[in-house]
Amino acid sequence: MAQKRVPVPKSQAEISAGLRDQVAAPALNRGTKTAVSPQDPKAFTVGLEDIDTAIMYYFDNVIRPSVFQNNSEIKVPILYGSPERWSSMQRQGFLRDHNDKLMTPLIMFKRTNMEKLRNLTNKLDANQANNFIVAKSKYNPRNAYSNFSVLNGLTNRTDSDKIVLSVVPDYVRLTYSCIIFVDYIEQLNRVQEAINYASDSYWGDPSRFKFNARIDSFPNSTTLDTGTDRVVRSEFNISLFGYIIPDAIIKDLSYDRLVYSPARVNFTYETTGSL
Amino acid sequence: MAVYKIFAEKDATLYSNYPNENTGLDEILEIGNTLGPDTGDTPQVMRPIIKFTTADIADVLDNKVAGAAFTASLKLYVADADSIPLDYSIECYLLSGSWNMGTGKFGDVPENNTGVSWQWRSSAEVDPWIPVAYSPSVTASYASGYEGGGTFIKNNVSTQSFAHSDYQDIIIDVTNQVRSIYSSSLNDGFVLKLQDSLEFQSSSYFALKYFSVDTHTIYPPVLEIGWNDSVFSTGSNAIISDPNFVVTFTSNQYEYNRNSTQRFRLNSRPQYPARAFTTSSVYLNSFYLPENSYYQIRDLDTNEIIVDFDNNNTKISADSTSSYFDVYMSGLQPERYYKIFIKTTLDGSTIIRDGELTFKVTQ
Repeated sequence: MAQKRVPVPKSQAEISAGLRDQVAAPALNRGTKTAVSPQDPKAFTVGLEDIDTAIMYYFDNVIRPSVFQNNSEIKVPILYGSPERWSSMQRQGFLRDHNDKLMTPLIMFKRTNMEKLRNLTNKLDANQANNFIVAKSKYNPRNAYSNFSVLNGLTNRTDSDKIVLSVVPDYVRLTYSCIIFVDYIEQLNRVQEAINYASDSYWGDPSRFKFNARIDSFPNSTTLDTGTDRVVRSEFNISLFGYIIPDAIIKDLSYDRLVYSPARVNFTYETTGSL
Repeated sequence: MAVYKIFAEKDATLYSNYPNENTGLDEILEIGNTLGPDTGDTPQVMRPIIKFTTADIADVLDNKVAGAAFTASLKLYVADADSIPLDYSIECYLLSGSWNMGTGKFGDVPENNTGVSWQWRSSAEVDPWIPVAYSPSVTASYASGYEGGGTFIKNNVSTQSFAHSDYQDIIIDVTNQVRSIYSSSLNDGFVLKLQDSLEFQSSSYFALKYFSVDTHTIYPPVLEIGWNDSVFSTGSNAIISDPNFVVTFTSNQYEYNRNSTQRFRLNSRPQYPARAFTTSSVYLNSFYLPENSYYQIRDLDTNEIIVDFDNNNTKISADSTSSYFDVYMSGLQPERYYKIFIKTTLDGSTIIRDGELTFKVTQ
């Protein structure tokens, strides 16, 4: 006797497993899996380190903070506040070098917060990105430039464009905590004036990335405790509007980076005077 | 990996109803027997021809295989299959006669005659395929009135049979043909054709399309040469015997240049090690995989198998340090991610483990 088929309800785990497979393995269209050649642009990425580097570059090469001491100009060094330096600075109120000498003048900065900004744009879904920045090249190996192709372009054929896609970035607001250490208020004034002038402009290496940076206030403090060195410091925050396109597998698998648009032949109406 | 992939130098499709038309730059290769508005009542036969350079083949066999026994497979990835019969077979011959790829595409108006076509080897009206008299080892296959379609070496044919529900990718063993190319240095490439009983049939419509050398996709034709480079010489560590085992890779640089060769080293250990009173963690004891262990490489995005488990060509080696295998990155597509799986037999069970190793090939 033939076995009767009855519906068997799925467990919650089986349903979840099915959904997971559906996300991981959509139907494959081999035509969309474009090969990347050495001539093609590399995947575009901007990371947090790029943004940190932009701040460092701008301090070092554009603001160039300096102070005068003993009638000579001293360039103010910039340090990123690695956890060891930062905790040392917080514990003592200032930083010492390996000879135990007080490090002044000095600017130290550290990224303290990253806040996501959703009001600019959104890729919609990290599993399958939907919004892209698009770059097209009209002439490519499929449509090599020639006098004939130019002539052909005047006809009713629309060539296939090579399109390089880059997912829209995640826009973020980063907060950096900065501390200026100097010996005298006069020196602090000079450094603060330079940094304040740079506020609200785009910081970074012109050949790489630039980000809008804003500074709202510069609270000052002078430390002169018994048995310690005198140090003048100012602690302020930089609010930087940045964007991130990560170098991550999840990003690379969520869309095809190179695509070709289909070539088209355009038809128009044709009429005949007699049948 | 004792699997090395060579990419084709040139290819084209020969169309019997367009005896002068060149299709050297087409992105698609076609095999089939079609009827349609453009062919009238006359069946049209389509045959792709593909060539891999002698230098590439000789380089692999001289410098990598180095005298070991090898296998060679011609792989074509299907783009579209239309009206295929339940069962059919595809034959692969060595071509006899040099040919020029040309710059044409199917349907070019005016017709492009700059290269090989059904009737001609070099260009239209230059070097016909069919000679006045065949040399003893050469033959051809065509219907009367459609002379052409390549001339090929007799008695050196490979066949792949397809059954209902088989994948339509061509993976055809061409070891004998590659051996012949290597020993004689006579290399005009391969021609693929349907079995004779399916060609020039007015009662059937049958078309298979494959990605060509000029494809924009990651699926160009490849010649895959495999050989056994494994050695199994273990050091002081034991061979794992527990079917509940964990396999990990000792180091992963994550990104590998496409011109590099990478040795992947593996560690394995029981998933639940026996408790022992020792001064170090039992989880740190490393074991070798058994001798009959193999690896597989898959594309992480498409989940397609790029290098499959093979009892000969993907055997995992062992030396005094650990189990290992080598991968030639030049056979993998750049800017893509790959994943490795491990297969072994323990306690009567064939076990396949996800190696938990993902890597990317860079330009």
